[in-house]
Amino acid sequence: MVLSEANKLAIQNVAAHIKSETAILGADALARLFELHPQTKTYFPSFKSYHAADPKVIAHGTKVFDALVKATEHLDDLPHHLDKLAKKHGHELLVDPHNFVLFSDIIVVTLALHLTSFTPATHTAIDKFLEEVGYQLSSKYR
Amino acid sequence: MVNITQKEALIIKDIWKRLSKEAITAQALERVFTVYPWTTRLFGSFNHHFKATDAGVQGHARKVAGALETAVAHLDGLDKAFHDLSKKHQTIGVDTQNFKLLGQTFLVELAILFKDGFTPEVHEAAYKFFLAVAGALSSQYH
Repeated sequence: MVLSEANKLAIQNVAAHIKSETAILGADALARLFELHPQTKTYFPSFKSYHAADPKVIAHGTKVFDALVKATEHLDDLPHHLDKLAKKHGHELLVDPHNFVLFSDIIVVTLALHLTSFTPATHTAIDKFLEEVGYQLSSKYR
Repeated sequence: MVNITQKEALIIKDIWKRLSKEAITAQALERVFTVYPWTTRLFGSFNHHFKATDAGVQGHARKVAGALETAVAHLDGLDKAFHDLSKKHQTIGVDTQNFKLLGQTFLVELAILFKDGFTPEVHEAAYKFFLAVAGALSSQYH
């Protein structure tokens, strides 16, 4: 996966815009994932509810989006940067990698909703970025 | 098999009524051609003109919007309603994955249009609608 300079700029621009709102965006994205793909709730049996206002949904959503923002600071060495998280997902959490694809599409819609602008060019850059992140997170399963 | 509930059917009909149908379809097409460039495979006749305002895209948007109009009116019998259209798409040689990709970019356009009005509930109804349409268009492939 090669990110062009234009892709990287677009990704970093989005990151700058969402940096201070990872809780809101993360909770929204996660709630939408649970709504559209109920099977994803099976990974969180301890949650009391799966709506965006739930404290556990907010906590986990924040964690995910903080990690995504951090990853945008390492666009030139994503495999190395995500190595630890890849091992966590592949050896410990064992989340079916297909869920990264499902979640990526939802994150895209969530960003489109919240950002003031989400042009096809920005959308492409983000889609490529999320695809790479998902690919890296899937890389230590077998 | 996608099961669209009565409540979701009402949401779908309501959204559809509020849209500038051909305009948003053209935008969704521009977005699918940009974000997933392989979807341009069978559109060589557009001569690399894939913007929403280009004649080729406008023409195709008219056809697609018309088909979606039919879909909204036949939510209970989509496979039947799209029987011939499905055969036609296989004859043309369209990879059925394309239908899902256009569904995704359509969701993004809806998110941009409705912003906070695109709640998880509305998002799910729209997602299921496009999944059902994609399924119906794929149903006669053999």
